[in-house]
Amino acid sequence: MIWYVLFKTLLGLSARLVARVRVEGRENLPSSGPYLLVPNHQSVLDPVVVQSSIRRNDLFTLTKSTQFGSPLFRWILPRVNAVPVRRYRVDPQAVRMVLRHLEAGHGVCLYPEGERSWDGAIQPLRRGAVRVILKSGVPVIPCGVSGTFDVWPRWSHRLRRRPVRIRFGTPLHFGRHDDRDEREARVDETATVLRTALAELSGTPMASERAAGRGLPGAYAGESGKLLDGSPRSSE
Amino acid sequence: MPLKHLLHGCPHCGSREVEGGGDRVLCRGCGTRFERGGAGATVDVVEPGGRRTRVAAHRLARAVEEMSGGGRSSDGEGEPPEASARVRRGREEEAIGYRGRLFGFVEVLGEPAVATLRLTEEGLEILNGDGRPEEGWSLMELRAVQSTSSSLQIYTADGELVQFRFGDASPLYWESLLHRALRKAYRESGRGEIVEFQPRISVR
Repeated sequence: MIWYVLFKTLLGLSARLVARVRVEGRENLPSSGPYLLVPNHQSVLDPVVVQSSIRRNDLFTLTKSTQFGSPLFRWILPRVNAVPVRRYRVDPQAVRMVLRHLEAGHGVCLYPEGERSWDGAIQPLRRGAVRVILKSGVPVIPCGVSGTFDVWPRWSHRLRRRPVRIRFGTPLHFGRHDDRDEREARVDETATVLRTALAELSGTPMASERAAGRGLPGAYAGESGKLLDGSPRSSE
Repeated sequence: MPLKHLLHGCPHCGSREVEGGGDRVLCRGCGTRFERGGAGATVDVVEPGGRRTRVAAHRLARAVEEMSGGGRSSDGEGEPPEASARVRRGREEEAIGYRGRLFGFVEVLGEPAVATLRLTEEGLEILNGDGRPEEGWSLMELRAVQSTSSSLQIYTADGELVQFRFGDASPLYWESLLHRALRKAYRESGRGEIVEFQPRISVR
């Protein structure tokens, strides 16, 4: 707990040096009892800004196992409640850990896209993550993260100071589904509800809404963003 | 990682001849320049005449994905894509714990070896120094595919994890190539439509 609070404070302050963080909807987080926190994933900064925006200190986060590669991170990550998950194969130990922590009344954070977005759009949700949500039966708090892509996108080494907004949504209740067939039948619908909530909270488009753009610039011109000089966009 | 890993082709003209480092990409085909945008997950597009447009990054990425077709280069129609990579194999899995509690397991990778990776219609091949296949996996032997920011990882039917860490090539491009090839192979063999590539390839 001491390490967790220490790292949460230090890393949270560090993140705020490069990001002007605004937090909304904190009242939607339960003050006690188990819950699943489900944010979209834009940047490596997301776990830091999300965790440091939460007052409770019992949030465990599923973290890709490759992050534990170096001895330093192997020492730090368990102390900040990071639970490794192997992404290249089904990882029953990670599922067990999630359910155990929830039974113990803790919060668990999982990024249902499974990886950082390459382009800022919300990716399809991993079916395994949705199955865990349906098995758990606890309140699910969708969390919209926006702006961290502008601070530090996956493909860049350079950080830029930009505003970041964290929005916690109202709890979603999907029920507890112990029967595998019943769970499987609800995966698609649950994924759609969650993904829509993440898109709305973050103000980020979903990957399926990407423009079908061949023959650019016509396909992308006029549909998003603004011309930097503010003049009307041509229709070429 | 450079912007070139996201825009591994030109979304403007479709050329694969893009260059640049860091947060800039220049298309040698049409002269359009792409730069990291300021806000709103955007990329600035600077046309040869100097006209600058701010475009959502996901729209450009989508255009690149669609224009890259089957992954054949514009000047090498029919040539299977190749890339230099450092190959590492999963050696073991190590338990991670804290205060006597087991948290989970992480993979430990072996020593890297430099090789060339090639994707054919049949599968993935590792080429030796003479350009001859040294080892390979048919597409149906792959159980999972995932990319990291600098590498591509496969999990094989033998339960082996193999990581290809690229020098200059985009892991996103290679993941996209492999996804296309797997989707086509599964469809043509009547196995169905792939709905997920990790933690295991699953079909509907």
